[in-house]
Amino acid sequence: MGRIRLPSFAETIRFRLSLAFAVVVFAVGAAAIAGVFLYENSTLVEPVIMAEKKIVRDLATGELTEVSVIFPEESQRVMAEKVELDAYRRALNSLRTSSFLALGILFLAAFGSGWFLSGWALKPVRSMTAVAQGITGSDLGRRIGMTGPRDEMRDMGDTFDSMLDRLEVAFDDQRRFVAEASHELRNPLAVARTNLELALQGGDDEEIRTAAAIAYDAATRMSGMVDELLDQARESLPVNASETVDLGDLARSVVQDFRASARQRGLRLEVRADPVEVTGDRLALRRAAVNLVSNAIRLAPEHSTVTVSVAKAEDGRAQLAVEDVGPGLTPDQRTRVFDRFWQGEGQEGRGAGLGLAIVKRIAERHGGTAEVVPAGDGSRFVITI
Amino acid sequence: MVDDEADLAEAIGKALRREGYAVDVVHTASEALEITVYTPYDLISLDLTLPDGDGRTICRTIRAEHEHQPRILMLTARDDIEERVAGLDDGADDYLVKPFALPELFARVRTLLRRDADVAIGAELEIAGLRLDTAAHRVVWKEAEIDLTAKEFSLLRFFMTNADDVHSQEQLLEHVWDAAADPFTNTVRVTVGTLRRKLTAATGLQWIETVIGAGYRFVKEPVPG
Repeated sequence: MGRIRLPSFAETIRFRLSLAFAVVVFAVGAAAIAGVFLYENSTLVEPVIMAEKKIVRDLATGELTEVSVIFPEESQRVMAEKVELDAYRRALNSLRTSSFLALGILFLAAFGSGWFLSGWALKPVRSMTAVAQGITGSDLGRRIGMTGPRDEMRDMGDTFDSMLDRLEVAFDDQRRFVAEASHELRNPLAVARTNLELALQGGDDEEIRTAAAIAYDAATRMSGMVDELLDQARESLPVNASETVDLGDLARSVVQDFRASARQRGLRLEVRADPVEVTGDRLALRRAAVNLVSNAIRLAPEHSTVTVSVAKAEDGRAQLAVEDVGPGLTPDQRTRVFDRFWQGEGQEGRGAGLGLAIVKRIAERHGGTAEVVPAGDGSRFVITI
Repeated sequence: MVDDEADLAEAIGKALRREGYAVDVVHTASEALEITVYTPYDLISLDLTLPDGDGRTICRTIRAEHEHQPRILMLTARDDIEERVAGLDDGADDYLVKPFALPELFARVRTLLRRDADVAIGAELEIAGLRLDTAAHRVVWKEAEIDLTAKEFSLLRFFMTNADDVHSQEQLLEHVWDAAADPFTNTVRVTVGTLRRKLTAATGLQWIETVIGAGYRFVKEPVPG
């Protein structure tokens, strides 16, 4: 046997509130009336005949007996009281009938006013529901915008609105990211596709080979971008581990990994790392250091020196810096270098332009900063945590 | 063809040349603005993100300042509606998103160039019974196909698109040959000559007049000759 299915109007909170209100009022009213009846009933007492006792002597036997004597006045009084009592009883009975009727009316009236009051109190909830129903991922522009006194409902509405604000920002950010990422992926895709299409339309061997080489480069570029995009997506997650990380050790191990590629470009890779401990996400911090060092190695002029240093700043904060001697950045480039998808001009083997954006994000997630300052002809990228 | 992706620009240039168009390729905004001032291009394919500027600015500059108004096709990886609308509002004639299929690019190029011609029916140009199919690369006179080289075909396409106008040798060189053509050769005169001979041989009519001191005119009402 399943649960009894209530009609749909009975499932609303408004109905239940009204019903509960009516039941409470009814119960209080019924108790009050019952009390009144019990009290009144207790005051109605049967009249008692008052008799006078007399001692009578039997003249024959001389025996003494006690007898009650009712005088006619007394009998009349009792009769009158009985009539009176009867009238009271009948009045009380009739009052009881009308009280039951009144209780019924009270119940209905309580239900009605409960219905009205709860409807009034729930009105903001209904308008919030209407707004929430109108909101979709593509239209987060609607707001409840509650007015009136600063009460619980207004608080709730405002909380709802500010949540929508944050959601809208996040959605916009996401949309922009997707648009930018797809733009970055479409370019190499177009390069590969057009060259292959051209080669397939009756190209000779040499042409096909050239197209294949170009498509291969484009694919390499795309896979680099996909890696960076995945990193970026992962970096949007909160810091997942709070461990003690020695930035000095970390810098030395990153530099070790890059020795070979530095040698290929004839670069000197120097490291000056004090042991400095910070609390944070070891993998993320390592990713930040890797991005900075690989950037410097990719762009520094050949046969120059790239210096990685870790030290404690005067205010006690930890600093990881990567410094090169060229090619340097203009002030305008310095303001944009941490932007997502920003690309320097004429860079060889460029990535998606996400590396430094990721560095900045990681620094900020650790409550720190990432900045770039000019250093001689080159630049000095500093993460401060 | 303006695009900073050299591998893409060269491939598109090559593909369009195969279709019989004369194509010049540049990779930067400054080059684009410079060559479009001096050369009256029929169509410019414009990438929106260039290292030294953005394509929309180039488009607006050409529309506002240049004497010669080419057709402009925006060819870009940006695909949001806002970007397309903004591009078209800046004066572009068409908008194509990368990556694209070459046949679609060809079709759009044909459509854009056809807009100048008042003799176009679909992909065909038709003058006095002479039909040129821009898509199939065929020239037909009374059910018989006339065999033309790629250059002759391009020249005839240009003539038929601008019928009854007089074109100097320099103009023909600019529209039918690319920037690599040597302006001092007699290649224009030779190609016009062979085209004229082939048309007359096939149709028995004189289509191309020589206007002394001015150049050549392709006539809409050819005379027997």
